[in-house]
Amino acid sequence: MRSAVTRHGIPAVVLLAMVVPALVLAPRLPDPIAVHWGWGGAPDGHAPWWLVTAGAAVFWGVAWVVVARNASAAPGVYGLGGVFLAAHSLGLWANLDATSWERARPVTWSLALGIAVTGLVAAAVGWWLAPGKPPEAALSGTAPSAGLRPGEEAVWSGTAHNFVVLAIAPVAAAVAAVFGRVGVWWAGLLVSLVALMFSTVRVLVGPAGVRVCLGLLGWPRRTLDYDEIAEAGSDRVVPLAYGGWGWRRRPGRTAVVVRAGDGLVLRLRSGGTFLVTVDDARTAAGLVNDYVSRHRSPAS
Amino acid sequence: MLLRLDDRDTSPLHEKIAAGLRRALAAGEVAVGERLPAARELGASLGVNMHTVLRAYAQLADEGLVVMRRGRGVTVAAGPDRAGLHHRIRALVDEARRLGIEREELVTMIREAR
Repeated sequence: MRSAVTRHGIPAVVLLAMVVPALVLAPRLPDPIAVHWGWGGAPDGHAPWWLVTAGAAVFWGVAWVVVARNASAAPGVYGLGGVFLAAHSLGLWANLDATSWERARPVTWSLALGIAVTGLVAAAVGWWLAPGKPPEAALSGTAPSAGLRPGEEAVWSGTAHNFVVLAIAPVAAAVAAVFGRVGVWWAGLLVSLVALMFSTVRVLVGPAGVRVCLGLLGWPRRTLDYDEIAEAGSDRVVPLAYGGWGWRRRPGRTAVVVRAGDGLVLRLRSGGTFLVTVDDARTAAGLVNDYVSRHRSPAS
Repeated sequence: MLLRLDDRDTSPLHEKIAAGLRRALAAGEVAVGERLPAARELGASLGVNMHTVLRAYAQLADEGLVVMRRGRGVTVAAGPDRAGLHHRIRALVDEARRLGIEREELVTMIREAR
C-alpha cells in the first residue's frame, strides 16, 4: 500500500497539481508568460504558458517512471518534483492577471529560496516514505570469490564511464559559447568541464586495499584497508536512490556514482557501507572477499 | 581486468607483472583502445614501485600489445589473439631456458618448424 502511494499516488498528485491549476488559470494569464527573472527580480524571459506546463509535465513523467520502477529513488525524485511544483506554482502566481509578461510580479530572492526549501522538504518526505534500500540486501547470498590461491597476489582494475556526460559536455559548452551572453558562456564551459572531469571512475582492488579514483585526474581518491571491510558484493545502482551522481556522503554511507548499473558494495566493519559504480563489480567483490579472508587468517 | 601474479614464477617482479597483464589481455579482459590503470595507481595497489610497473608496460609496448603516450596513459593496442601469441612465445622461451636450449638454437628450431 505504502509502496503504491510512493510509486504512483504521490507522483500522480504532483502531476495534477502542476497541470490542473495551469489549465484553470490559463484565461487569466498573459500570453506568453514570464518564465525567467533577472538578478533584480524583474522578468527577463518568456514562453507560451502551455509549453511551460507541457514541458514540466513531460519531465515529471520521466521522473515518475523512475520512481515507479524503483521506489528507492523516491528521495531524489521527490526533491526534483518539489522544486518543479514550487517553481511552476510560483511562475503561475507571478503571471496571474498581468497584462503582459513584462508586467509579471517580481520574483525576489526569498521566493526563489522557497523553491529550494520546498525541494528539500519533498526529498525528506521521499526519504521518510522509502528509506534508502540497504545495499546489504544484495550481500545476503553467498559472498563471491575470485579464487585467489594462498600466496598468489592479484589486482583487479575496473572503470565506469558516463558516456552521456562525455558526449553532452562538449556540446553543452559549445552551445553555451554560441548562444550564451557575454559573461555567461564561461560559466557553461566551467560546468561542462567539471561534469567531464567527474564522468569517470577507476577502482583498483589489490593487496594494499581498495583504491577508488574519481575523474580524469584521479582525484578525489580514497583507499580502504581490508581491516575496515567486512564483506563485499555487487548490486544494481539507481543514482537517484543515492541522491544523484557524484561523491555522495551520508552518515555511515558513502557512494561514488557516475552512472546507473553495476556497482561494488563494501559492507564496512563500522556498520556503514561504501558503494562505487564500476563495470564487472562481481569479480571485484570476489577479490575483495578473498583478500578480506586472507587478512583475517594471515597464517593461511 | 583481473591481473594475477603467479607465485610459482621465480622471474623478476616486472616480468611477473608483464606476464599477468599479458594473460589478462589474452583473456580479452580489456578491449582494444581501453586504458590500463596508471602505473602510479597500479603500483600503489600492488605495493610496488611505479617504475616496476612502468618496466612491465614498456615490455608490452615493445611487443606491440599496448601504446604508451605521455599524458594519455597506456592504452591497449592489440586484440587477445596477439596477446595470447606473445604469452605462448614467453612460455616457449622459458621452457627452452629450463631445458638448457640456447636462444639461437630455439630460433633455428622455430625457423625449421613447418
